[in-house]
Amino acid sequence: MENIITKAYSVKYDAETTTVYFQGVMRLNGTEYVPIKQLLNDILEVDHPVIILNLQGLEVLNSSGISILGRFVFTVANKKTIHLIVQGAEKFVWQRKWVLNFKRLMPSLLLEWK
Amino acid sequence: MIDNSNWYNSLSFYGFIGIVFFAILLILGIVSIMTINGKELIAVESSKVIEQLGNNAVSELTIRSSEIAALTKNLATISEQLPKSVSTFKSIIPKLIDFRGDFDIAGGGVWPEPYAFQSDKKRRSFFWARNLEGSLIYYDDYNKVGMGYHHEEWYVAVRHMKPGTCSWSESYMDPYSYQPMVTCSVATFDHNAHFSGVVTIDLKLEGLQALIASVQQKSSGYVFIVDRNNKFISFPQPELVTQLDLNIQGTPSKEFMLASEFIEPLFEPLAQALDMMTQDILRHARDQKNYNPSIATTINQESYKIDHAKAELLAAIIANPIQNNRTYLYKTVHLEQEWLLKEASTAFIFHVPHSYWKLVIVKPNSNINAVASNISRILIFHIVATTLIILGLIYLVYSHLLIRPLSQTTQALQEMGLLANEMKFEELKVLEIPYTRFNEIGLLIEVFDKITIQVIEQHCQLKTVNKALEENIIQLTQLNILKDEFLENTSQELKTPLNSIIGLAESLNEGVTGSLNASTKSNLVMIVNTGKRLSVLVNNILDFSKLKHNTLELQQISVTIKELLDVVLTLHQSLASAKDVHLINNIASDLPPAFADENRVQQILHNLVSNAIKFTETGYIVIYGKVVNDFLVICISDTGSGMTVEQLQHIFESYNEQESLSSHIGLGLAITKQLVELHGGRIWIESQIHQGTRCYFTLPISTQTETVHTALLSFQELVVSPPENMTSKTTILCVDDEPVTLQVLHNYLYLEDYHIIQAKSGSEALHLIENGLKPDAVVLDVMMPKMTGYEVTKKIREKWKADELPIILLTANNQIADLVMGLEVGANDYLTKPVSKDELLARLKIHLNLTHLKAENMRMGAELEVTRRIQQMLLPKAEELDQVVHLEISGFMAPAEEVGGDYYDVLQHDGRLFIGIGDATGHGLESGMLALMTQTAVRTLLEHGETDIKKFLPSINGMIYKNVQERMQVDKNLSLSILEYKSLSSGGGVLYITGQHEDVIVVRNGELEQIDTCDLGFFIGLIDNINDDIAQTEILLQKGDVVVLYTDGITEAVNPKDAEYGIERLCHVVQEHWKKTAESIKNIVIDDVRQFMGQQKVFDDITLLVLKHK
Repeated sequence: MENIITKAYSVKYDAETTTVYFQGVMRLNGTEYVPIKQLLNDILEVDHPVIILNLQGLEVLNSSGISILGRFVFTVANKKTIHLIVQGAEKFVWQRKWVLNFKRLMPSLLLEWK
Repeated sequence: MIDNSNWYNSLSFYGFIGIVFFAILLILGIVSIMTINGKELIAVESSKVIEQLGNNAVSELTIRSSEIAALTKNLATISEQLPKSVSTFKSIIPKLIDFRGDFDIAGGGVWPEPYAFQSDKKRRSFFWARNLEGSLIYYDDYNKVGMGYHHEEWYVAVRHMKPGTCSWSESYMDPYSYQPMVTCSVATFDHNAHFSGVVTIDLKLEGLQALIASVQQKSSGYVFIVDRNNKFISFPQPELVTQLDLNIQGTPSKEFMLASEFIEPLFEPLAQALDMMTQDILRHARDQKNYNPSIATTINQESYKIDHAKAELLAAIIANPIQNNRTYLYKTVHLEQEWLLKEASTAFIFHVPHSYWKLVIVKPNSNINAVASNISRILIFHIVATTLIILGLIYLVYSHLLIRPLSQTTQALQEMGLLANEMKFEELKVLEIPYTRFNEIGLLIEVFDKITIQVIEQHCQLKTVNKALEENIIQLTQLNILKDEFLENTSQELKTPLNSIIGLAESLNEGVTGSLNASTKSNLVMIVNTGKRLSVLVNNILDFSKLKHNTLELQQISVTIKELLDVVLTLHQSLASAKDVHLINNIASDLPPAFADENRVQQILHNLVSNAIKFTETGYIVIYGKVVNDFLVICISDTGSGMTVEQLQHIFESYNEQESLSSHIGLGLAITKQLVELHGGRIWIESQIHQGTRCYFTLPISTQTETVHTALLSFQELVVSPPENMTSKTTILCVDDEPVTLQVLHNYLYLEDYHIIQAKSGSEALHLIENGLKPDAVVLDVMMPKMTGYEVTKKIREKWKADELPIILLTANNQIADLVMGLEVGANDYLTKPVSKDELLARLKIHLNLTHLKAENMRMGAELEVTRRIQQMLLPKAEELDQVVHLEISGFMAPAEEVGGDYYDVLQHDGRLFIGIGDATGHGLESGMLALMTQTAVRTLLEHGETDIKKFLPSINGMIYKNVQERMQVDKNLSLSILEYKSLSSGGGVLYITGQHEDVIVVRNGELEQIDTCDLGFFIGLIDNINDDIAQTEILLQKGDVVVLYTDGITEAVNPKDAEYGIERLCHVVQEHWKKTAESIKNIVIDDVRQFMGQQKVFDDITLLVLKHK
């Protein structure tokens, strides 16, 4: 499982805490999201009791990215065996709106605001 | 050189300014002093002038009176001595009185004491007076009865005076001539020295008038004289100071009045001053030793005509109390308003000696001051003019002797400086500046001249030496060029045969001519290795020559070191394995790419790795990299023999002098070092003998986000991927004039199962093509006689484009210029000879693949174009929008380069108005299709009579979900809001909103409101059922209210600094312009967004819909 690090953004997975850290500005096109989607899918291959999505450093995420995250949340919700925690930052406007949508996709999702 | 030639920087200018400044100061000083103090001083001086005038006049009067006194005295002496005979007296005395016809002398006489001339006669006087003709006429009047003269004032007083002195009478009107007159009396004495009588001379005062007039003329103002009793003797207007009186005969006659009798209040101060003077005379007389107060009494008793006061004055005068030494000016009186002049004036009162008359000069102050001003003005003019002339002269001298020579010297030095700057030493010359021979400047010039002469001499010598040197240099340069050319040409010439040797040996070894025994194979390997070493040496010589002449250009791109190193290590693997040396590529896969010339980095790595292998007998060579600041640091570490400190010091020198190393290293490290430095990096080595060597070099990190995949792709990557879509045997056309090269190419390609067609010249190749040959790729030598590879490429390109038929050029010159030229004429790639088999195969494969990919790309481009057109075609037309009754609607949509999935629509159905806005995630055809499906679904629902917009969304969601997730199998969904407008009978209308999309911006009467649609719906197409997520809200609209709908293409638009446009800015712009029409608001917002984005790429579709209630 390879971390994705570029100048503009990074997606890192900490296996010990099963946390995915999203950081920076992600304004990518569909194909650029493929490795990220892969990373998220790889995490789901192992049965983790808890997965944490840390978005507190994610300044911008475009609609394609939201779609990826939405699908991830939806997949986790359908599995019904994983606790999903989303750690957001209220200072980023897009998160306030979209994290609530994730909650709708997965009502058991736990939201933690910074 | 500093240019000091500006006139305002010159000494002359400073000097001039200094002089002008000094002159202004001096003139200001003079003028102010003259104005403040000068006038007073000059006024005093002006008074002095008047004093002098008065003194002169008094002197003249005194001279006249002394003259008369002398005449009278003379008359007295003669009359004392004449025999007392009437006839004698009558004949002699008139002659004396006539005084050579002096007409001012009105008359005179001899007046003896009673009975002194004739014992029988009490009164026996002799008196003559001039008639109108001026003849002296004898008068006997005083001897007649009733008359008498012994009591006359002029007779009484003189007897008390010192013998021989004249006593002047007070002025009177002559009874005969009716002219003002005074009389000078001198006492006579008999031989017993007893007083025997008096002689008199009468002086006409008319003569004084001329004197006074001349004084008056000089003084302006007026002048008058009073006698000792302050009785006027003269006055400019005599009638003012005369009064009628009765004369001796009892007839009225004019008589001068006393000053005190002049009843004019304004004259009073002057009259008082005159009286005060009389008082002074009396007082001073009392202090005199010779003063005899009894004389006054005597005189008073002796003459009934003399009152006591006059007698007292006479007695005082006899004591002569006023002695004048320096001046006759007795007193100055300031008169605030002078009676005659009618202005403030000053009266100067002068004392006339002997007669005790007073000469008074009255002068208006204005006149004194005017004189003073006049004098002051003249003085100022003179002083200023003199000052200016002196300063001018000083400046001229200063300029002539100092400034001009100095500025000339400076200019000359400056010119010489310029000449020296331009190295024109032969034009230097000795300075000649006038007027400097004996001063310091002259000395300076002399010193400078000596230096100049020396410079000129030195220069001449230098020129001679230089000429000789230049000739030497030319010779040497020519020799050097010859040497370089020889080296370069020889190297070039060596390359092709060398490549052929290597190629042939390799293909022999591969078994082209059938199987070989082990010994032959091992010998062939040696031939290949030796050939390759020789080839490296030849290339090094060429590179060294280029580096030396700075003609080596880098083509810097993003280079992934790990992959490049893989290629290098693969090439060295056999050499290393033979020595039991392990090559380890320990570079992390996430090490950022370098910004470097790929070929040159490969060369650097090649040199360093091959060096490391050379000096390592056993163990391993590990290469790793890390990031330090903005540079990659690559380390090649070996377990070899290491180096001594001394060896380290000379390691990078070309043709190292240390034999042990040079034979092994040659030019390699020197070139490596220069190549690294050409990239802006540096190289260094750490080593200890027997402890291995670590060679480090740095390269700049690439700032490009994507690695540029040029034709020179990574070796392994290419080898791994097989050519796709090649159903039949692939045909390769090989063109080269060298049969050996053709054979090498054939050997390589034949083994890979390519179909090979050979051509021995360009024209042959073209001929084949013209006859219908369509190869899949062409491998083409550049340097061919008659027709070069470039020309062949050009011809082929006339028929097929680069993406239709790849051409790979073969060149012995691995120069950028060749590459550029080759690519310009349309080649796809180039390979340098000797052609490595693996590289040739890899390149061929990638280009065959690329041809395929290009076709794919074109398809995608067409797809995007179609999507863009569908998107635009589905937008509501302007006429449709104009038909909307209650709302003014203006819409805008601009697709992004890669076409996003924006959607908006305005539909009227059965008198109802629906507005939809949405945004599908992602870009490209699928996103566009999603928008299209949504539009169609909304329209279909309306056509089928669905009236509840809350039911729209679940239906659309179901349809989209099934299409996207089950059929298209793409990760796409969309946000979508559907709005319906209903007008109210009470005026205005309601806008119902459902579905989740961006916030709706509403401006009511200038007040802004943002309506969050988050809770009104959910993503469309993400989950199969969103029935529970749908809600509806409504907005009341009045006339003029504005509603703005948009997609995130606007709020997430970024500028070149990566800042987002944002909802706040959008709201601000809308609120600022809400009063304008929907069309204007739309245009203003779009302009503002575009201005904000500048040159930045448009990432997403931009959609804006402005509604305004009519």
